[in-house]
Amino acid sequence: MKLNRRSFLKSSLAIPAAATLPSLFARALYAGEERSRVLVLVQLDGGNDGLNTLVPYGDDLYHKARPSLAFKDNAVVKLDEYHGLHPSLGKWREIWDAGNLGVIQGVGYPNPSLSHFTSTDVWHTAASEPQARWSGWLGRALDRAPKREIPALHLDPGPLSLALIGERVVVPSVADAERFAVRGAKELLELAVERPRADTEAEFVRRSADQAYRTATRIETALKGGKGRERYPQSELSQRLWQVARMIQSNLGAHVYAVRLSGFDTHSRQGNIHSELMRLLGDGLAAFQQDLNANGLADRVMTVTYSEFGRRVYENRSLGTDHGKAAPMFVMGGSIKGGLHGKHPKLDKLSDGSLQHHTDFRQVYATLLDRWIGADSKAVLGQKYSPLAFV
Amino acid sequence: MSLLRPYQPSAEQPWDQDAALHLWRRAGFGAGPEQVAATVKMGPARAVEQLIAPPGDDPAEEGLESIYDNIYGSSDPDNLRAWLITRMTRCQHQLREKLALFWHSHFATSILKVRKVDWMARQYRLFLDLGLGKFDALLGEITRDPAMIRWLDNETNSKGQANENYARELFELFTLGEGNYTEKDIREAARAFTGWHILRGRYHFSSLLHDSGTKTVLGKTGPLSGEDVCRMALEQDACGRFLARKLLAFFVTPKPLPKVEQELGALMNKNGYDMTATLRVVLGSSLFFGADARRAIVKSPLEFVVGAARCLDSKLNAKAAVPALRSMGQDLLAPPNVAGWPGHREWINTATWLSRVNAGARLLRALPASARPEHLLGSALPAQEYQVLTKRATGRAALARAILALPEAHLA
Amino acid sequence: MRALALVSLVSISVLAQDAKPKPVAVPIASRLPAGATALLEFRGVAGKLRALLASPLGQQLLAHDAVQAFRASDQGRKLLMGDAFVRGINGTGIMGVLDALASKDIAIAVYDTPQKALAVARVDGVEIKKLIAAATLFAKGQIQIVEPESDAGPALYRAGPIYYSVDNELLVVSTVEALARQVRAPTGRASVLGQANIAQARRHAGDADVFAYVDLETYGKNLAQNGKPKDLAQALLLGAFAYYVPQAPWAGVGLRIDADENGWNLDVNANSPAPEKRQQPVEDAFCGTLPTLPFRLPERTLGVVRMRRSLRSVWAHREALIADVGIPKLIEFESNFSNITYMSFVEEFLPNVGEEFVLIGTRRLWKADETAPAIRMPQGAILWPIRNKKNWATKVQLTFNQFVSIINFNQGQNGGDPLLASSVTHKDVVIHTSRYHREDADKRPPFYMNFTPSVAIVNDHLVVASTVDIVRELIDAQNGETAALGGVNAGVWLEPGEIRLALQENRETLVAQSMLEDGSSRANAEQKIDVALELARYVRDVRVTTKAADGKLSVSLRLALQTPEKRTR
Repeated sequence: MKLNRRSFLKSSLAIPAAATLPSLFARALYAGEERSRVLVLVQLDGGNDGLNTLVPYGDDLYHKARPSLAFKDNAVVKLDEYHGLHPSLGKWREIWDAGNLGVIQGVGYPNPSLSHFTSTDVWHTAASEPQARWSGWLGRALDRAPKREIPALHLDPGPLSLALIGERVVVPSVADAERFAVRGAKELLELAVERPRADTEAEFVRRSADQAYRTATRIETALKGGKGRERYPQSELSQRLWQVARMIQSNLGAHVYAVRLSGFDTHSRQGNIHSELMRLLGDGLAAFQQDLNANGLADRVMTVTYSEFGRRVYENRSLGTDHGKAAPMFVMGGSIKGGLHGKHPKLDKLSDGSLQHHTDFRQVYATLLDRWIGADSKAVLGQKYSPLAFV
Repeated sequence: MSLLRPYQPSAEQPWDQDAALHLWRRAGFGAGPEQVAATVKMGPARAVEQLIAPPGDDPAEEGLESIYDNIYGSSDPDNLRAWLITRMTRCQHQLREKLALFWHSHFATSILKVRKVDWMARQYRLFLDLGLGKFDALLGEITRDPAMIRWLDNETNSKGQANENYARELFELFTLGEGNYTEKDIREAARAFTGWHILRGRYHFSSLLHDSGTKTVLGKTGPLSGEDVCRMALEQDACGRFLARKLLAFFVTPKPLPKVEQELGALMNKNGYDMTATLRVVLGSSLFFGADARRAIVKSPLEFVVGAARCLDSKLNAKAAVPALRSMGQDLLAPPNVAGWPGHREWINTATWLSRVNAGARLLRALPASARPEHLLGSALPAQEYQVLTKRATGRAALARAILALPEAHLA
Repeated sequence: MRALALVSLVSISVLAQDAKPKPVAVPIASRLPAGATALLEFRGVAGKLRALLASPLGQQLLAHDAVQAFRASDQGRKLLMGDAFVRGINGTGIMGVLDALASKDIAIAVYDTPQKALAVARVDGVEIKKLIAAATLFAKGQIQIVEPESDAGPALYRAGPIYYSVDNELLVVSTVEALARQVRAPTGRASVLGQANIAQARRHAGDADVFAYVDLETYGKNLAQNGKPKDLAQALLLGAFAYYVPQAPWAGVGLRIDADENGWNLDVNANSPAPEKRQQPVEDAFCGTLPTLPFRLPERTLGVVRMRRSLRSVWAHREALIADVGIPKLIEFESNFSNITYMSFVEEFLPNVGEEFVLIGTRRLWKADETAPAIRMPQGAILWPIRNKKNWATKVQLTFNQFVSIINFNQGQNGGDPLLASSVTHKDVVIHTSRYHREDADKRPPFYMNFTPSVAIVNDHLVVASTVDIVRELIDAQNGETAALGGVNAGVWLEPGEIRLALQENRETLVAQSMLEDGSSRANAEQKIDVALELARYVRDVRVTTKAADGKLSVSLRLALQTPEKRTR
């Protein structure tokens, strides 16, 4: 990631104070204190094989293109006569039936890059021009939101996702939310910031510290005792999703939570590998959705998966698949419009052996921004994109 | 009357322990009770002089210099970071270390892009070796510094294919500040730096790739060279003002003071950007010791951690400090972008505050028996809090941690 | 070091007395009532220590600069002062106390929780009573008599949370009043030695000088909760232990001090889990014995690790052997592996490799015309037996080229020094090797100049090495043999002498690290490192071996000391 953020300073000075921001924000996501809507982003890192995730099992061309990797009709989780889910996504059946699972088909962008790094940056920044790829689409959205102590949270051991880098907003990134704890002697520390200060700077620090302790307490309380943890699989992704659910439940106030599942770069012998990854994703998100349902949170949480690109339609000679183009995105939640959105990209109209997109990922972003997050998509994305019907 | 006039102790602004501690915090990182007492005794003028040029040998620095080759040859950037942190914690000449940190944030170059420990070490050495000298010498070396050339893509700046990155930052962030040059100045200046490349790890001037044609920069026309452009930038009044503002924000107060900036800028224009002479004026001024300047800056994580070690006469595990400082938001050698660390209030948020109180106190190795945690704050330690905390804290280490968690401990 | 100094402080009084180990008929632990969840016994350890200290080695250690420096330090002086103080009371000082307490036997048992503990010691009652009398004087009011002396037993005292009693030869200390009473006046209750597990564990440990027993069903819960190893490296390293220890009913530890040889042997045993809990995959993957190694250990060997681990079984049963979180990493590895080697990891690689890993490290010699980097790394190699040698040559070359390309791609992107690949032949063996090509005028070579990555097939072994020199040395050593290890499935040998030399070569780096970590001056750091290097001269031999078969597990650690030769440095 090459960032020349010289304009960082410039633009941050140019942005007016949050108070004068468009009233749009006052509406949905940023409205009504912490009980607002939440977006959970799941990055499928490495380029997920969309064709074996949402499987066009009713298409002969699919079976022809993938003599070894294609799933037989009776193996998939059938959604209709043409579409099915990967066999390891069995636990999504119930979510689908409840109308809480949506599939946005054929998502991509023009002149796609087949480099992991470039394409991931494109998805994260939503910018076509390389020189504009230095702030993230959610970072810019959060910049325009009223300040929150933890505006968003990146739960991952890696560096902060570029999607969450804004011009002003600071999003913490931790591998484990338990890191947000005061270690020992908390009372004494709280005592140290109890009395208001007359001095402006001291008072600023005092308030920040006080706020930090309160946030820490909330997260600690939320995670304490591991309530419901046993209902999640043991995987790291699932354990992070459990933490996300607890933090949402405790009304922590973060607008966005971002997690990641890696290992999707399946160039060879992908059968077992991809199945395993699908199981981790499927079981994890199913447990998460169930948890949200059980706690009455499903209506205000939306989960979205994305990957930097799909993979080729034809399997390669190593029984894997190479970097491709369009792929489906999955959305989950109690307030979404479930079902299939858009048509499956045609298997007889390929571009360099890959599916062609008919929906720009920025349409998905714009829909999320305008209808779920309540941010002005034009301001965040630089232009207007036609919205989709999943919200 | 100028705010830069020499500070004269008075009833309102006495030369006392608080004033001496303030001087140490700003011109350095901090000092223990004995050293502060000695500073009080010598009076403000001599105190400033001693900070600018401490007398005698410094065995701590000699020791650290003796392992420089080892640090330089290691591929682990954390070794270099720890070496620099140890310098800040132990070297006698604190102002030199502090000013080097200022230059590091001014010429903010990140190892995340440069990827070479030895190059970063060589760049930081420039800040240490030339930081207190004349700015033109430092700027000249920085312009030829491989780490900087890589950081701002000057490797790809060639005749006919100019890359404006260095020229832009030279004007916008290193010398003039926005609004004091035109886009055309940048385009033309970029041509002057064509062919300033790297070969085998060193600066290399490629005359074949250099555009020696006529250029017009900042109102002057001719076959200008890169050296000419640097010199002309320094000749601008704006350059003095720009540097004055950054120095004042770092050493005195983050509040803009246009008049003082103007005055100090003019002084720098006149003294040839002599940093020693300039800092002598700044650190000795009534502005510096004035009430408005006291505890007016939010400490950076380095100032917080190194300062605590200094004030408590405590040893610091610098290797352990590296990740701790990173979690507090300051990853040495990896500033967030070319504008450096934004600093001041931006340092504090939930995550960084929790790191300060969790990791901060743990870093100080076994507090010596002589350590007086209360010294850290001088008279800024609210008596009420001190009593309550002393009563509630079990042991000196706990008290030190509680004192480090007071808002005042995070203000320089 | 502190313990050493403590011993030295009072060594004179120790040596004045003669070591008189008395045969003990009934173990003192028999006085402890049954129901313990952990037990610790010291059996005349003081006698062994005395013998050790009286030996030439002990004498030399006591006279060591480090010990003397400690005596002169703040802490050392405090200890001396404390010793003088105690001497004022009992006439023999701290060592006298230890002698009165520890020269014979001590047994400590824990019941249920660590808060319920009971200790008994066979003591010199007269000495101890003297001390208690003095302590009572100091702690006036803090010590109460719970029950006065009577026919039923000696007086029972209470000091804070502690209950104790002492008669002519037995000191009883407990955190629980009832326990203290039981021992003070035994009633013929069952003893800990009657606990079947403890009896079994003690038999395993034999005549150990220190014995410890832990009930894993009580204390192993955390182990079990941590679950399976999280990644391949952990699984390979821990072998069968990770799976069986949480299911084993108990573990026992025995420390034997071999005074004649200055050897310290630590054996840890964990009993078999119930047969129904043993897993075939674990036995297949991690159990078995180590055969003869067709290499002689080359000169300057720092250490060797040999392990019998079946990677093939690990892969076949990965869900059973590795935690869920680790599976994606294996999958990623598998995928990367096949991309780089053009081989299927499962179908082509695994069937053609053996099950014995050998890791070897040797000290590298720098040639006169080579400029060594500031940090000098030892050279290391992994040896792996292979099957169907014929098929390997091309694959090895191919993979090595891929590796060099990947490195160079990265180096090229960063403007780093390139890795130049070449082949050399040594005694008819083709070695694919590489070296970093450096043109920077800088005289200080970077860290990576330590490496000349190389690979070769030597004597039916695939050798992947950090330098070409170690491959040559291994080729030279291939006509020798290194002994088989009977019944052992993993072993680690360290050569302290060579390790010390390797560290000595890196003294400057150690000093630098110490300065950065301790925040101390160069002089202090040098002193610390030199003392450590000096003390390393006293170590002759370090070996760790593990056995795992039929669910029975044991780990042995042997550390042997020596009297170093006169300093050569």
